[in-house]
Amino acid sequence: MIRHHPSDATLTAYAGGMLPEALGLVVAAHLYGCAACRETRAMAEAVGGAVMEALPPTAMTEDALALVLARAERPMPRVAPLSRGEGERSLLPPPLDACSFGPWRRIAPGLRFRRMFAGERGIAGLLEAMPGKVLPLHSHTGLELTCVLGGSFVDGADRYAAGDLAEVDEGQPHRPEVDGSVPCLCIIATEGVRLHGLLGVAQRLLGG
Amino acid sequence: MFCLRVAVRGTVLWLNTGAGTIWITRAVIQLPGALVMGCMDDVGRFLAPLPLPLAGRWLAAMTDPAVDHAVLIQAVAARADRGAFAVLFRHFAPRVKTLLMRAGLDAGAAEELAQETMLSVWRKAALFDPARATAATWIFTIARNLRIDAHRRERHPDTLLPDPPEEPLGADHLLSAGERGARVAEAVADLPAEQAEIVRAAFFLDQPHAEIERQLGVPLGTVKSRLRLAMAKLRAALEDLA
Ligand SMILES: [Zn+2]
Repeated sequence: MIRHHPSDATLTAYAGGMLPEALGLVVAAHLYGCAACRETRAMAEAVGGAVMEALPPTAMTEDALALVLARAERPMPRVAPLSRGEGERSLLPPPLDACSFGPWRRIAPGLRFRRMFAGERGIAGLLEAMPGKVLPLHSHTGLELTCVLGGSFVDGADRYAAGDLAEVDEGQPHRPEVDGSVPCLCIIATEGVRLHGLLGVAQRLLGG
Repeated sequence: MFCLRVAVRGTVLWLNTGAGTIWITRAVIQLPGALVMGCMDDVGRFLAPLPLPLAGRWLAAMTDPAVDHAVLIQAVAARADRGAFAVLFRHFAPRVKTLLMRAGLDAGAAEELAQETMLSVWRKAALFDPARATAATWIFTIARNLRIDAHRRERHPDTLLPDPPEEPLGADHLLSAGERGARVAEAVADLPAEQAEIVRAAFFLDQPHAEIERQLGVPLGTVKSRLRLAMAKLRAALEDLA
């Protein structure tokens, strides 16, 4: 049962294609398991359609239709096969299948981090923490999203288990700690280009 | 704009009397009282009046062009209908272009991506599912995905992510996409200006949270709460209908 969801602001930005790619990966991971948020996304996309429909038209070039029809006659170009990430595939929701990953790096006892390729705006990666560890998440640089893929953590009064998404705005203090007896695997992303604390150290080690 | 929708042997045609043009695709125009007005082929030659068998059925006077656009996409899928595509192109390409320009592209790049979007409409027409989305919503998502892809390719020419697999429709997905689309459009139009502004910004501004804060001078917390209010209204509008 998923209890924690992204905000409407985040889902709408995602549906509008305006969320930085790194944050979008976390939202995609959550959406895969959350029918309620898929419904919200569908609604936001319908809003996008309505907003577009209501826009004043901008004239296309005169031969635009003829050009497109001429291209439509030609066979579709073949798309090159994807280079797929390997590793956590069994735990990753399918929307993340095609992501490319860096190597796992140990960043502290009981903590490791694996960078994901996700564009120049923001940082995304997988974070694995052993039971009892505090996740090194500190939002100093804009929005921070974390989606639990396996295990669970507790932050204040809230418990986050598989599928749950934690959304933390800049400057909001929090102290997520892995509970239970299994490691917690999360996909995390922040809006800022620089990570802080332990993850920042990992980022510098990776030359990111 | 006044639109008529008429079904003839499974073909639905498009009639736009508001602009003085009539676009019909291999179909018969039939008005109530079984008066057959005429028919056109798919390049728009008028072939009638033809006393064809009264196979057509008067459906409704429609004010929602989205419904008809959905049928035009299906006509493109079913028989590579260039006439139907031309209607879609004239309606959507200039709006996609505006949308892309508001999202930060220059006119040249927006033109190119708008053409690309319409080419995808042609090629992917068979994937269009009117139960999931209105024509406008479907074309909006194509344009959105192409914009993201173009941005990605700029950085990494060799990576091209596929469209994510479609998740199953929720069991509570009771509304038809046409009803949903019409209701959402209406509800957006009814939003108070300050909420409508925030909603629209989600589709126009890159980095919406920070940008809204900066451009509209509204603090982030207010942006989020206004958006939450707006979405709650839209949800309520949809629930009314279910
Ligand atoms: Zn959710």
